[in-house]
This record gives sequence, structure tokens and C-alpha cells, in this order.
Amino acid sequence: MLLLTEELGQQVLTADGDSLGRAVELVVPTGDATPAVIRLGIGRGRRVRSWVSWSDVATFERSGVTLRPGALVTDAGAVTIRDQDELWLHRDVLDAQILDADGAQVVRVGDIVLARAGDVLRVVAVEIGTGPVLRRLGFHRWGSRRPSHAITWRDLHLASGHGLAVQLAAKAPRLRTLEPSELAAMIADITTQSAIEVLDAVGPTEAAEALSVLHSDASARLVQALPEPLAAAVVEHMAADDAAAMLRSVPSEHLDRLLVQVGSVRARALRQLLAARPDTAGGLMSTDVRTARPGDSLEEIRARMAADPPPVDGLATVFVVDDDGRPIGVIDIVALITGRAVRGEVSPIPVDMPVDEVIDEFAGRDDLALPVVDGDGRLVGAIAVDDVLGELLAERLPGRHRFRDHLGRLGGPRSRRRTPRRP
Amino acid sequence: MTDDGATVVSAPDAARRLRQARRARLVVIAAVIGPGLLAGLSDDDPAGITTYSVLGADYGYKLLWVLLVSTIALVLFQDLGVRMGVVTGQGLAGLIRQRYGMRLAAMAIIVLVVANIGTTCAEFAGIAAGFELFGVSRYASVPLAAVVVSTLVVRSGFRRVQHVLLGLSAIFVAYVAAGILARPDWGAALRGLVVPRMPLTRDAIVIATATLGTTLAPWGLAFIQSYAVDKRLTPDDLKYSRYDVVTGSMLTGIIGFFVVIACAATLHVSGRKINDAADAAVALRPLAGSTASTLFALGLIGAALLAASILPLSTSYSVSEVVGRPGALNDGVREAPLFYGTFAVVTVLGAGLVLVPGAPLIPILVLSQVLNAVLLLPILALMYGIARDRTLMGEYQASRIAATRYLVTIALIAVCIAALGVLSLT
Repeated sequence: MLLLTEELGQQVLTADGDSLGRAVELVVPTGDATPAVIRLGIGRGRRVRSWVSWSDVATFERSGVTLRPGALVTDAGAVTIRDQDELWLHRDVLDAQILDADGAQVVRVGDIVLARAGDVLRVVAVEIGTGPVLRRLGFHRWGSRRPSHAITWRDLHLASGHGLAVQLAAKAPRLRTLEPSELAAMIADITTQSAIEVLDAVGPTEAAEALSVLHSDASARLVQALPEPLAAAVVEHMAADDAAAMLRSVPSEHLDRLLVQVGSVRARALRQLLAARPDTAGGLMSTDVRTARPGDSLEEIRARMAADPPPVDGLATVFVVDDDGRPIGVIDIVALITGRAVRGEVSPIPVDMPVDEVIDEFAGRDDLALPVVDGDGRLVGAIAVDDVLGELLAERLPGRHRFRDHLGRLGGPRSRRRTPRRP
Repeated sequence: MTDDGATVVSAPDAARRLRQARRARLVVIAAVIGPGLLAGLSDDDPAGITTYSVLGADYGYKLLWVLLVSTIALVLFQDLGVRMGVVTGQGLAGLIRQRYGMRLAAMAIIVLVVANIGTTCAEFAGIAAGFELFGVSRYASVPLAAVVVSTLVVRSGFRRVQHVLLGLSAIFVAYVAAGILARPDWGAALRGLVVPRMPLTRDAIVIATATLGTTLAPWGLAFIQSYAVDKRLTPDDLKYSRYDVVTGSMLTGIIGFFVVIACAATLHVSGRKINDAADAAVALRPLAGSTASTLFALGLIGAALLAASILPLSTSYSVSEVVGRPGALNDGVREAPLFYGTFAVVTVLGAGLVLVPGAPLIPILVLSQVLNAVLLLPILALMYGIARDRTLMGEYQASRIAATRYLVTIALIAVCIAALGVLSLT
């Protein structure tokens, strides 16, 4: 195993022993899980003065680099490099921002791990954490004691600068392997412009999932910046309540333009949700509810659920409604599977109940979802347990402003309740 | 709202749309405003006010042009800072690491932290001096200010504090009033502003360099960039954020201008010497009346509180960015020990030094401003390198014309510092 920062900087000698400068850059192609170095840059500091193909490198040791006899050294100014197909390890990767999927945060590359395989030099992983930082500053003993963490090259997601652009151009499918929360952590920490490119690359389904778990301040900002057709597609793919939470922070003129492009049924549901106050049950609920009539058989209900599953797991509850649309029974998921009797008692939540009381309602029961009714007692939506969870955990969602309302966790739930953020 | 572009628009409708468009633009401006205004206003901190007071008391209106040049440089580089933040999504310290590597970034951050601790100390010294003018002991005012400011920033978040701080900084109008009450010689002030004259003495060069250094403080540049990143501005916002930067920088210059003329019209004319801004406030009383003196002292306290809340925060961001965890404030103390550690060290040392009996406060203040000025040159050079880097800035890479402007400014500051070096050696 070799470390980039310890390998760069040594003298590059020709086969005759003439010095050409120092090794300052290694170049790898994109699109490979463990790419092999294809070119060595020679120069000073960061500036590459000349290039030599890796096949012309005879030895690559800490004591020095020697080239093969007759090696072709090209002046960097004389060749045009199509650098959108390759990554320069020193310029584009070392010290650049990447996504640490484990910690769901953007961090910096501390070092790059290389491995020899015969004459080939492959990039295996990057190192993050304070360990490599201390080591590079010369504190080897401290550095080795600090935790360091490697991310394999296969899982590398560059999050800034040229490296991000290159990876976006080459590896959109790789981005799709990220969990929604990981993708959200990434788009929360990069520029709006880059985030849009990332969302565009992963497509509306993944984009919708990522925006759903993002703090609504951040998702609103992004959805406004997206090209309108993509924004509309994303809104269609999001659960109605998540979309409403996001759209609440979008200025009305932009919202009107956006909803015109969204399918009319979805747009109507969203407008209904948006009309409710954000700190009430109406602002928290989802309108996408599965209902049944008193005469329906369990078979029929099961078939309908299978054909059109609810958007979130928490909503896998079917509410039985009477002719006027008032909820009169509940079929929870266990009842649906086992065929157990339908529960006749329902305790509907008024649409204008404050969110704090809704949370208390859930705390006092073990229901996965509760029906929400309007002033006439008619079913207008349902609140699932994960909506409540989202409300309770709003402060922990990625994408919150650092300067503007930081330290929510220290501020605790009280500060959240004063300004409900994820209705 | 019509959803069909071909619809014929009636006159009232068009007027409504125009109003909407105007309102939309105002909304955009309101959304981007903040970084420039806060950074600009916090540049008028006790260290700044002290420097401007001495400039006016010792040299009258003669060196006002230095302030004008500093203000122009401030506009130029704060605008660059915002642009870099918006385009790269990274703070200054993080970008220095990405562009120049770990060692240079570590050196920059160490000097920045030391300079910032010194400057924070200057802010708390300003709080102490300001309250002492009203008969409050520093052993009460300084710890209380440290606790209140940290609690506000850490617990209730910057957004809410920002409004309080901007409200506080309205006290800055006090300086304008104090300047007018001092009945300055407007003609001489105008001449001093546009005609460059430079007495070639060590003291004059020191105060000129200090004026540059305190106006264009490195921590201010780091702060404005982090804040722009945090506001998630997009390149489309740049033309609006320029209003913010220009307004903030102009306010810095205008307030500095009135501080200088307040002291020039009174202290300089009567030949009195002062050591710091509190001296200036006291000295103003018999010359310009007790209202001017009280306003000056109030302005000092407001400015100090504003800067004392921003400095530790800005330092913590710079340190975390270099080590590699930009979003530290979303985490609790346990997840981000470095962030909170830096915040605590800067605040405690800054406030603590002021409370040590017999601590050499004036040398600490002077040294921190010198350090700021010395640090400024390499920071500006590093910013220039980043601005010209195509792989980082893409299509927003600084044009040749812009690059020339930056270089001329950097050269000017280099000349100042070189002159200071030469004169202090001979």
C-alpha cells in the first residue's frame, strides 16, 4: 500500500540519470472500480510542466522515479488534454470534498491509497479523518493514533469542483446506488448548481426520495432551482405530504408556475394540503389514503392495496368510511394480513388540531396511522407515524443552514415547536 | 396567474405583473442581503474605531484617502469572497486546502487563529472600556458579555442573533452624529479624501497600514465567504449580492470617515494624543459636547458586541473547514469537538486576557492588528490564485481585467507593508 502524499515530490530521472523535475501528479481514467494510473505529471509544486505515460516509468520508489530508456516526455503546454475523461489525483481528488456515506456528511480527502500490481499502479481507496491531516503536517505519531477511515474508490463520490463534474459526466449510475439519506447529505452540502446536476443525473425517482428526507428549507431551494419539467416530475414522485412540506417554502408565484406542470389530481391534493396551517394536523397529513366501504371483502381490499400500495409504509392502514365519507372503522396491516376483525372505534383527528397535540395523540396509542377529518367529520387525510417522527426529528435532517438556525439539537425540541419546520 | 404565454395581457394585468416582478426582485435582494452588511459593519470594531480615531487625531484630514483606498479594496475583495463561496460552495480556509494543500492551509489557519484571538481580545477590551465610561467594572461587563454573546450565538442560532446584531449596529449612526456635532472643516475633509499625501514617517506608515489591515481584515474575508456559502446563494444571485457587499463596505467607509473627521476636527486641532477609542470618547466631551462623547461610547460597545459574536464563529468555521468537516454546527458538541473547542478557546482567551490584572492590552491590540495586516497579503495572494483557477472557478474564473484590479490592490498593500518594514528597520 502506498500513500499519494508520501509518494509525490520525489525526483524524476531519465534512464541516463538526468533530473526532469519532481513527480507532482498522477492521472487515472474515470469509470473503473480500481483504476490504473495512466500518466505521471512532472513539475514543481502543483504545476505540471511535462507528462510521461505510465508505461514509460521504470521504477516508482520513495528514493526516486526513473524512466525507461527512450521515454517520451511531452511538454504540458504542447498537448491538449481532454480532462473530462480523467481525474488528476493531486488536483481533483486530494483535499477535495467527497461524500462520506457512513457519516452522511461531506468531508475532505486526506490521502489517497495506491497499490502496486506488477508494473501497474492502481488507486484503491481514499483516506479521510484527522489521522492523515496530522500525518501530512509531520505529526506521524499523533496521526497514527487518530482514527482514520478509508472509502474505497468504488464508493467514492466527489462533491466539489472539477472532480464532481467529471464524475457526474461519467458515473450517474453510481450515484443511483446511494441511499436517499446519503444523497440528501450530499446535495445539502454542495452548491445549488452542483446539487441540481446531481439530481438531474439520478432522475426524478431518486431525486424525489432525496428531497423527501431533506430539510424543507433546503428542498424548497433546490426544487425552485431545478428545470421546471424535472421539478414537476420530482413533485409527482414525492409523497403528497412531503411535497407539501417542501412547497410551503416556495414563493407563491413560483409555486403556481410549478403546479401548472404537475398532474391536475396531484396539484389539487397539494393545494388542499398547502391551504392548511403548517402547525396543524392538516399541514402534517397525507391526502393519499386508502379507504374501504362497509360491504367490501378483505380479499377485495387486499387486491386493491397490492395494485396501488400506499406511498409510505406508515400509511398501510385502510380506513372504512360511511356514505358521507366519515371514518367508521380501521383495518390495520395486521388485520389485513390475518383477516382479524375490523376495529369499529375510530378516534379521528380534527384537521385543525395543533401538531403538538397530534404528537401527544400518537404517544398515547400504538397506531401506525390516524385519520384526519374536517369540520363535518369527513375523512380528508391521514397522519402516519413517520410523519410524526419526521416532525420530531426535523432538527436532525440534513440541509439546514449553518449560520441561520444552527444548533437545533442543543436548542432541543422546544425551539422546534416554536417554529415547526417540517409540517 | 395565466399559464399560457400567448394570452393577451390587459393593462391592469401588466401593471400587476410589473409590481409582482418588482416585488420578486425585492424579495431576492432581501434574501441575499446579510453577508456584506454584517461583514462590513463588524469591520468597524473597536480595533477599527481606535485606528480611525488615531488616524484623525494624529493626522487630521490628511490621510482620509487611505480610508477611501481601503474601502475600494474592501468592495473588491469581499465581492471576490462572495463569488468564490457561491461558485465553489466552500469557505476560504477549505478552498486554500483544496488549492494549495495541507501545509499552507495549516500555516494560514494557525496565523488566522492567533490573529483572531488577538482581535477578539480587542473586542472585549472595547466592551470593557465602553462600559467603564458608564461606570461599570470590566470584571462585570466582560464575563457577562462573553456569556451572553456565546449563549445567543450557540443556543438560539445565528438567524435570530443576526437581527439583534444588526439592530445593535444601528448605534453606528452615533459616529455619524458625533462627526457632524464636531463641526468639521468639510472642505479640508474632501481634499484629504481625494488628494493623496503621505508623510514619510514611521508612525504615519504604521497608521496607514493599520487602516488597511483593520478595514480589510482577513477574518472578515473568511466570514463573508462562509456566510455566502451558508446562504446557498447561486450564481444568479451574484448581481444582487453585489448591492449587499457594496452597501456593507460603503457603510464601513462612511462610518470610518465620520470617526476620522470627529477626531480631526477636535483632537487634532487642539493637539491632543489618544491611545484608543475610549480615550477618544472621553476627549470628545469638552470639545464636542457630552452627547457626542456618549454616542461615541455607545457605538463602541455595539460594535464590540457585534464583532465579539462573529469572530469566534468565523474562526471555528475556518478551522473545521481546513480539517474537513464543513457542516459542524449541525452536530452536537460531542460530534464536533474541534468546532466547539475553537469557539470556546477563542472566546475564553479573548475575554480572559482583558481580565488579567496588568495585562499589556495595548500591545496585544496593536500586535493583533499588525498580524492581521501581515496575514492580509498572503491571504489576498491565495484568493487571487483561487480566483484565477479554472478547475475551481469554471466559467466564473476572474477575467484578465478583474485579475489586474486584484493585482494592483495587492501590489499597493505590498508597497505599504514593505515601506513599513523598511522604515521600521532604519
